[in-house]
Amino acid sequence: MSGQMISDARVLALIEAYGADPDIFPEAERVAARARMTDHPERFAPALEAARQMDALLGGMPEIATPGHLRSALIASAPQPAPVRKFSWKLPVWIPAGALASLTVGLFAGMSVAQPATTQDEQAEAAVYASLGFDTYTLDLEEEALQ
Amino acid sequence: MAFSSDLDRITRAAAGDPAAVSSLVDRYSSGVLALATRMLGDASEAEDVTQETFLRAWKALPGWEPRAKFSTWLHRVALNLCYDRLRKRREVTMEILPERTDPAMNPAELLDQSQRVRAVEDAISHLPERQAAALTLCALQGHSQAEAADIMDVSVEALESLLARARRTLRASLLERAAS
Repeated sequence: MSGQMISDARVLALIEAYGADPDIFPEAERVAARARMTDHPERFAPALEAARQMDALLGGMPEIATPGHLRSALIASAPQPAPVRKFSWKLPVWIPAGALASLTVGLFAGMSVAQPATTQDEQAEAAVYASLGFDTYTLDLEEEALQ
Repeated sequence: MAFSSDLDRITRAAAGDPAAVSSLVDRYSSGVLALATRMLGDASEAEDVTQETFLRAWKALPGWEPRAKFSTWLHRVALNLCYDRLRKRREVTMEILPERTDPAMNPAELLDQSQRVRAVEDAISHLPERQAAALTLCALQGHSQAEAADIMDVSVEALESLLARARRTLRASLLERAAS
C-alpha cells in the first residue's frame, strides 16, 4: 500500500495518540502510516523521538500482580456449590427403644395368651369329634387310603 | 482443568465449580487490579474496587448473557467504580498543567529509575479520569482500541483524542516533577 493514502497530519496524530510503534496503530491505517513514515522520515523524526521517550517510560512500568490475600478473598466471595443434602434417619433415641419395648411386650403377651388358647381349641375340637363318634386318627388313615 | 471458553468458565463458576472460579480470578483479577491501581493511585482502594468488581461479577453469573464479553464487562464495572471513587475525592483537584513542553527535554533522563516509576504512577493517577483510563487500558494493559473504547463506552475517535491528550499531559507533568 502506498503512503499517499494517509496524510502527514494523520500520521502525526497517530504517533501522538499511540506512540512510535506503528504496530499499535489502528489496523486499517497501519500499513499506510508505516509506508509514509518510511518514505519521509524527516517529517516525523521529532514526533517519533518524543513518542519513543514516552513509550520507554510507559513500557518500564512494573506489572501489577494480584497478591495472595486478595486472590483468596476473591475466590472466597464466589458462589459456593449447592450443598448435597444427604437424608439421614436421625430419630430421637426413645423412638426405636420404645418400638423395641412395645414389640417385646406384644410378642410376650401374644405367646402367653395364644398358646393356651390353641391348646384349648384343639382339646375342644377333639372332644367334639369324639362326642360325635369320630376317631380323628382313624379318619386321617382312611382319607390317606382313599387317595 | 481446561476450559473451552469464558462462557464455559462462567457457566461452571455460576454452579459453584471452584476450578472455574479460580480460573476467572487468575485470568482477570490482575488486569482489574492494575486498572484500579493506575486510576486511583492507591493500592488499598484498588483492592477494594477489585473485590467489589468481582462481587458484582459473581452476582451477574447466573443470568449471564452469552454474547457479552466478560473481560469488557468486568473492566467497565471496575472503571465505573473508580470513577465513583474519584468523584468522591472532592479535596483532590487536578492541577491544570501546560500541555506544550519543550520536545527536546526528555523526562526519562531527568529522573532515576525508581523515581521514574513512582512519578509515572503518580502522574497517571492524577490525569483527568478518562485520560488515565484510556492510557492505562491501551498503553499499559495492551487492550485494542476497539476493546478500550468499548470498556469506556466511547467511540474509537474519542479514545484516540483522550490518548493523545493523556500522553501530552503526562509528559508535561513528568517534566514539571523533574524540574521541581
